[in-house]
Amino acid sequence: MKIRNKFTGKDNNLNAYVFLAPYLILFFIFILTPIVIAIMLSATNFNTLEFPGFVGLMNYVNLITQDEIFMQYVLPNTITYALIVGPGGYVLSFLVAWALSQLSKVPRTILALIFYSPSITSGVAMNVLWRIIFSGDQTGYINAWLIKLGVITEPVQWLTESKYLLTIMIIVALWSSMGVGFLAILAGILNQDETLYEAAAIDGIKNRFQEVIYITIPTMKPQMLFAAVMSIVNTFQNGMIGVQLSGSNPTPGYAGQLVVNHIEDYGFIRYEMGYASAVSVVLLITVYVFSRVSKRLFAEKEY
Amino acid sequence: MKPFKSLVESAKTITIFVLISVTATFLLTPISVFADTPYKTFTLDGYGRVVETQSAYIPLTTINKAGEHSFKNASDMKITDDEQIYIADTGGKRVLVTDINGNLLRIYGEGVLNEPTGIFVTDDKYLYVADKSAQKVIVMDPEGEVVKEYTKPDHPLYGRGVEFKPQKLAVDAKGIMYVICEGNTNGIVQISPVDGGTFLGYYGTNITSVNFLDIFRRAILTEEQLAKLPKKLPKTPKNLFIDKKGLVYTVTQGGAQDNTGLRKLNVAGNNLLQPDYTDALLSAVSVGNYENIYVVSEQGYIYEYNKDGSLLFIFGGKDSGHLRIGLFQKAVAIDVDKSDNIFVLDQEKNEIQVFKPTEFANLVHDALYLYQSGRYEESREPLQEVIKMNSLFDYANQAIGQAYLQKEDYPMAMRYFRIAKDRDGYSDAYWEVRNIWLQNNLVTILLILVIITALWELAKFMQKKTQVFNPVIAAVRSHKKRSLISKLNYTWYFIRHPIDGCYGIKAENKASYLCANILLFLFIIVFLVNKYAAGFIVKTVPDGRYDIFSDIGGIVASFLLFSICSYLVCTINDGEATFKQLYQAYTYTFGPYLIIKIIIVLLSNVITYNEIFLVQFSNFCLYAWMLVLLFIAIKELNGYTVRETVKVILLTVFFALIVVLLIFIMYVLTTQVYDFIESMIGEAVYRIEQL
Repeated sequence: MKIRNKFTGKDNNLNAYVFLAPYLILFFIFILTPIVIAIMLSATNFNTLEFPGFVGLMNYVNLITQDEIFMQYVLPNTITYALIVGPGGYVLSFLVAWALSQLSKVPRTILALIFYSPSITSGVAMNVLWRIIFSGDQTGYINAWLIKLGVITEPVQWLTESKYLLTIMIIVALWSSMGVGFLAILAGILNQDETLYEAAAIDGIKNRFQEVIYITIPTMKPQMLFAAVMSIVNTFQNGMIGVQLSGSNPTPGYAGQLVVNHIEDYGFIRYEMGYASAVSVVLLITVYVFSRVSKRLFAEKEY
Repeated sequence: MKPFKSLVESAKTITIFVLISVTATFLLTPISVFADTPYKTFTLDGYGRVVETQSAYIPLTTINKAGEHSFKNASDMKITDDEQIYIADTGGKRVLVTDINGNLLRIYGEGVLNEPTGIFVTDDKYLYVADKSAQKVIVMDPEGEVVKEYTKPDHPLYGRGVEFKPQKLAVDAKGIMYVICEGNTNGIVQISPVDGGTFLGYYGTNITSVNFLDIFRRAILTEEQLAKLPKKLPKTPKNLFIDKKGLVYTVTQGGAQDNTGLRKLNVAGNNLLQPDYTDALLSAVSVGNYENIYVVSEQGYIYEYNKDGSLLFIFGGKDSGHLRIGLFQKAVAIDVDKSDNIFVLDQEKNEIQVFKPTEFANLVHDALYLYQSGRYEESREPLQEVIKMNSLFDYANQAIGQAYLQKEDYPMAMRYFRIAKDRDGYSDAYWEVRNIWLQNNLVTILLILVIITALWELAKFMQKKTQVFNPVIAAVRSHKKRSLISKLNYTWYFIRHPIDGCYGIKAENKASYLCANILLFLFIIVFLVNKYAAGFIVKTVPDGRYDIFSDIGGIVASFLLFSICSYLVCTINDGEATFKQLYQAYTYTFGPYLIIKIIIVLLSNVITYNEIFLVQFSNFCLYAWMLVLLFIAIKELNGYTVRETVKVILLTVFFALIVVLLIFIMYVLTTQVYDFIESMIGEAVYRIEQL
């Protein structure tokens, strides 16, 4: 943007930069610098005590070839989790937002707040809700219920048994997936032009489903894209569920170990910062690639 | 059980025939192992099917008398470490002790015992007898003096109205008795010798199975209504055995459905065993010298398992009145001596039959012994011998695979696991192979990727600067414009925009029969590739089996059936679509299959069970996508509402079933007519010849 200086009459970019400065400074300090440092550290063997020594791509090579935990548990778990929770949470957000948009203002606002709250209070909810529901003794809701129906004869350790943990994590994550993306979609639906629907009704749209397919989704592509990106980023970053549910890192039998847990395991338990940085750079790249893909899927395109 | 039974029936007739022919040629040919037994021996293959193998045990001799005393309704038998046989001679109200050849050594309990149904001999030769009608457990010292008697425990937890009718028993190293009582469904009665018999509790109670109906009932019925329903009681175990480690093995009749047929219980009474295969009427269990488990069923089938419950052999069978050695009328007890000979007591025949292991079984046992003591490397040799004798003995192939896996020779492990159809083992071995390959080739792969990207960028740059690729692009474009190619390309558009795509087919003439048939042909090819070239862990057909022609026929027939049926149903339901349009749209719905399935096939060849989710998830997406396309195609081409579409699809399925039924009836009738005419002609020819 070029702004003509009133007094000198010359073109001058300085004013624009001044206006941009608050954002740029914050972005530089809190986002760009850490990423750059992480990328730099990923090429070292930093252990938080000694000065980092340069090891080249050693960390990355080790990650793919030597780290059996990563290849055998972390990667498959993360992919499973992301593929179900990402699209699943996205679809769920859209459906709930659409359903809420059909309500009048007061109940809509209250319900939206209720649906949104799990995503910001996940730590509390985990302890007061899910750990009680899936408690491993016979007083846990699921256990008590199943025993009453005679499906099981003794309580199941839902949260520490490796075959159930990932499934429970996915359920919990879907429950708390209505985050910022959900609000964006809701806003998008509410801001739509009513006249479009009227016109469509005249043109022969018969039911709500057709309205959604032909009008709602096409007119809110930007919000859909934003929600998709948010949903992907969230699923990949949302690694704490498994640790919170099972109460240990690493999770029992690595059953609920996601990339974020792996990073934390190496970074803050073993203090292999260089290696942890390498894993986080890989995570960054994965998230970037997935956002690009969703951009191609949802961005405006002409045929 | 049923197929197995019929197998055994046919096996019997065959063996009888074989026996006759073998005895006829006995002088000319050496003894055939197969012909020696009046039964066939079976094992389980990697798919869990019962398959025949060579004899593992051959009948050696029978013992029907202890000295001069014959047995009367004998119902239990135990063999001690010094090879004395204790027989509970129930009808004779005594316990007979013989040596291994049937010479009488001692008689216990004459005049003391009433109905001895179960016995147990401790290492220091104390004899425990379960006397059913006396309702007592009687303990005798080696001289035959009664040392102790245990009657019904008066502990409140035992239950007031519950009778004490001891049937079978076992005693552990500390002298704690495990008694199975007739009609007591609470479990095995556990009595400690302390204070003249302390009831410790019920042990290893069987679990009743729960089906969906039960769960549903419990969810909706009230307490009163539930109380009126017949109660489900756990089944009482039939027999038990205690091994050197103090693990208790129980067999339960009719427990096969609840998975309680054969159980191996630890101190806490928890089951440690998941046998591959059990009989419905198991009557006794014993443990051999390699922790292998022997089980006999009432009809006389003897099962041998390894310690983890993998079935090794099935042999023996019911004697239908021919009094053949090796077959049984009612087998009630089984035990094994030090040299792996199996002794089985037959209550009806009142004799003990002895089976001797063949060389084949001995090799399997050697391998088992070495393998279980962790000497994988040494266990390979006997296993290879076993495979030389029977290359389809999957248990041995699998064990070799395991041995190679332990030795970290992964390619060989993969090979043997594949022969043994052991997908889990194969997956584990392949994971290692792939990991090693990645370690060696990762740098090369990265390099190739970088080079390809660089070349692509270079080409783009060149194009921008010099337009050097213009002729190529022009060629591709003109190619795309050609009618057939554009129609094939339309698949890509159709699968992403099915509603528009249907309009294109209907109004814009975007498709043709030729294009549709090409797509069908491609579908068949991809289907076959998927069926026969998928990775081992997701492959659904056995290796080396090809039914290509029936596959092609099946696909074409069912596709035509569905197209024609749906067209007919649509036309009488005010549908607007022509047959041509439906046919073309249906072939376009194969689009996702053609694209994704190829990727899945490639992927399935490089994945292990760790990543199996990828294949499952893409399959799910693929089929969901195809169904949605099919639904939209029917809906849009015919101008239906959702409800009408659902109705038409259900009608089509129903109609297709009717058509198949009709074709089947027509086929049966035609063959009947054909047979009739054929026999008429035959008769006529015969008559004419007679003239």
